[in-house]
Amino acid sequence: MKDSSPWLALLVSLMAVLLTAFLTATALMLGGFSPVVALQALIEGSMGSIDNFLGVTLVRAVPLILTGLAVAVAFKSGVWNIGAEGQFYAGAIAAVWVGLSLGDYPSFFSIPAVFLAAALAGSFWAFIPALMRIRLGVGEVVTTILMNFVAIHLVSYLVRWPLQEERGVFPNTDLIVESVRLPKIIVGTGLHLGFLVAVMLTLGLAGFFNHTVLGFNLRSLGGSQEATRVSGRLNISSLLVVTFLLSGCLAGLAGGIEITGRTFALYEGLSPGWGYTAIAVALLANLNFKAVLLTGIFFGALEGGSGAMQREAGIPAAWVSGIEALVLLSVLASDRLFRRLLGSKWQLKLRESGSDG
Amino acid sequence: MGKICKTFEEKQALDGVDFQAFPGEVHALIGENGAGKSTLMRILSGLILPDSGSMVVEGQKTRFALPRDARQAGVGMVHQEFLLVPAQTVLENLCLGNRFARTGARLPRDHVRRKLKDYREKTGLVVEEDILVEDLSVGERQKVEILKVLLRGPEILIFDEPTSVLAPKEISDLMSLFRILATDGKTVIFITHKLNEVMVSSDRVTVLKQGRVVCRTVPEETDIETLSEVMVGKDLGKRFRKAESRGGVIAELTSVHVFGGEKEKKLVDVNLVVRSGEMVGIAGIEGNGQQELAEILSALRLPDIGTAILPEEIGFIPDDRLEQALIGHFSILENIALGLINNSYCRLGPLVLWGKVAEYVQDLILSFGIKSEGPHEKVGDLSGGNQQKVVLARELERSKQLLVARNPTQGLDVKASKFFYQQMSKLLGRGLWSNVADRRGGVVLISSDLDEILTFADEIYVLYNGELMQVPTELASRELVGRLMLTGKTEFGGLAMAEGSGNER
Repeated sequence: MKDSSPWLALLVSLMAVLLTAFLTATALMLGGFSPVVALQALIEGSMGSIDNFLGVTLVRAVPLILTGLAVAVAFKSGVWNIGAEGQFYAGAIAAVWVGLSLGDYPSFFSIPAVFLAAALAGSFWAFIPALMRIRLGVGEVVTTILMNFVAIHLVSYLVRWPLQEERGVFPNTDLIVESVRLPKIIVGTGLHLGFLVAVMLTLGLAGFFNHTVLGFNLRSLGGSQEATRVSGRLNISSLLVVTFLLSGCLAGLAGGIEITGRTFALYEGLSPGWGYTAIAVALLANLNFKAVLLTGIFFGALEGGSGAMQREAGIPAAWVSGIEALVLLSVLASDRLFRRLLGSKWQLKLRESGSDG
Repeated sequence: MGKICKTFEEKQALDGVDFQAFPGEVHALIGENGAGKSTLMRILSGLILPDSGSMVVEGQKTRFALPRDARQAGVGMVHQEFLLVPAQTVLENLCLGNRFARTGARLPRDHVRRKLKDYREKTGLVVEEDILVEDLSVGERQKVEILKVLLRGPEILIFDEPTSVLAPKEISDLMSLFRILATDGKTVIFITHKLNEVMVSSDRVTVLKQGRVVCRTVPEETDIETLSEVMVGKDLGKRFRKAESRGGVIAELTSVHVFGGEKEKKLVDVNLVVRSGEMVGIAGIEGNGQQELAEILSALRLPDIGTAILPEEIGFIPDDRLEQALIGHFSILENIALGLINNSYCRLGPLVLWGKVAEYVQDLILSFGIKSEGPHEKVGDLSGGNQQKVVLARELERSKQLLVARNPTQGLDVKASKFFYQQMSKLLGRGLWSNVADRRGGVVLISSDLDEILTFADEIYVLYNGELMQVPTELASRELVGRLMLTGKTEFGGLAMAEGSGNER
């Protein structure tokens, strides 16, 4: 009835961070940069001041947490949704479109409307791979990735033609009106209401998976489809669809919140790969929803500190992407390492009974 | 091999087995499912280690720690599942990972081609060598597997149920290949269920039952009846209290057909009636349609043709508990909940009341004697027998009207089995509950354990090759049912091998 133990998740994460620190320091030194200066700049830029922490780190953490939740929901239920990026863009497109078409209605009406549009668009983007998996048996790993490219290029088209700004100069949309922009949580910082939404959704999802029948059924689906079908007497296809839709809905909402909370307009490269980083966020959290909150902030800090690293230590922003990749690699490595150290009893049992002839 | 013992968890798979095979002979190893045949042969080919006992191969005392050791000692095994790369040609597959048995050097391709030509002349084993494996039929793939083993130049060849996938013509080809290999001085050991093959093509026979050798003989001195008797045993267990009266129909299958892929028939015109208070026993060797029949009876799938009228509350104990019944990294609590909360147990609308589930599961743990650290222990950390008890506890609870059980007591000790049968008779309304006639449930027991069927079932059927045959209870003897399980026939008309085994799969 519980998520995988939070302590275990914490320990695995800690080991991953240590391993990462070591690997990145080595890499930076090989590149001729000072790791100390780089780290200082990173920390300074992401959490050196309240302003930096609230306005830079946490603001960047919002889309990471939401897409991270999307990935965690899917992976926990046994669906390999690699398409959070595309679903994010689908949500962003819907949010901008609805946001621009809506007149000047009060916020309490127009913001939920934009959110709803974003969530539906994200779900729709995930529904196509879901159908292909259930009806045709096409693996979702490939289809969700391909749907990412469709979404990314759809954005390129939209911001050059149908949705381009009035002046027709830059490839981006007009800004959405004031009434569909999210209010700030703390006035004077960049921290918008989206962060609160992300926190509430995290807690809601944890509750949903632990305390509702549907949440439990989704976890069973992730545990063993065959046992869920035979012993749970459940319809696997409909559970799979629910998973795809829920996951897509969260990623779409992330896109909607990014538009209404931070950029107020759609343009190419709106996401620096949030949907992909989300996989690292979810895995580093060991698919534990509450831990996604922390790992989302951690990656938010990495993203946020990259600017400072570039300015203060003269390290190219591309290095930060490299560091993120290193984190993902060391998460996977330490996860395996840790499990091997524990000596998984379960696998041993399986092997023994499997060799019974 | 002498005094080989092997234990898996609490189950003794081999109990002091002595086994000899000589150069130049075709040796058949037979026995029921789980008799230990495959285990014994896996030990001989170095795939698993025995707990005790000794092995002498070609006059040398040996102990194989790795499959490589066995290969070097000249033992080669052709497995039931083929291990070929479909996207490569036959020749590439033959070269892949294949080495000289004694030196461990890789085989050069020219050498392989020359060897193939050799074998073709000597054994008549022809396979087009530049064709992709994915374009080959099952029988041809098996030939590739055999060639792969032959290339290693082994002295002892083991075949694990080689005929189960073959057509009649292919079977007789394979049998003549066995003969050629034996004439060449090699030792051929093959595992099988099919007694007619044994009679026709083996020199000697060893019969295993429950991890022991129960018979060593030569085909000339025996016949199929005797062998099947030895294989399944003769003594009858204590009779279970049978149904005194039966109620209305609980479940009914009418002309049910199920098709597999490629015109394969899994079930053919199956008719079955289960009445309340009655236990229907379906005997048969695995793979004759058990899975399909069980899934239809437990409402997990619909028949392709025909009708199935089933009650609402059905419990199902699947054959493969780790695959179909349990989720290993879930707790006992969660595994019980998996079956029950969707039937409105311990829930408040969409919410799960975990506290209530825990109390309930605590009771089940006590009454079923599940050895664990409590409801929150992971099922994967339990022993096999205790895992099965978790399944039983859950499925007995939900089977108010019908229980479908496949090999339900596998891995259970005597005490636990007895408890299970007690619970089952409770369900059937025997003993204290016998007066409440209309509230009794029905049980369908699908088992390869003949004793279980004969002891407990009120109606006895045999499932062979997708066909369900009823055996009149007054005629149901071990010999008759055993023979039906193995051959699908009651009379043996002149060892009709091609006909008898051709229907298989």
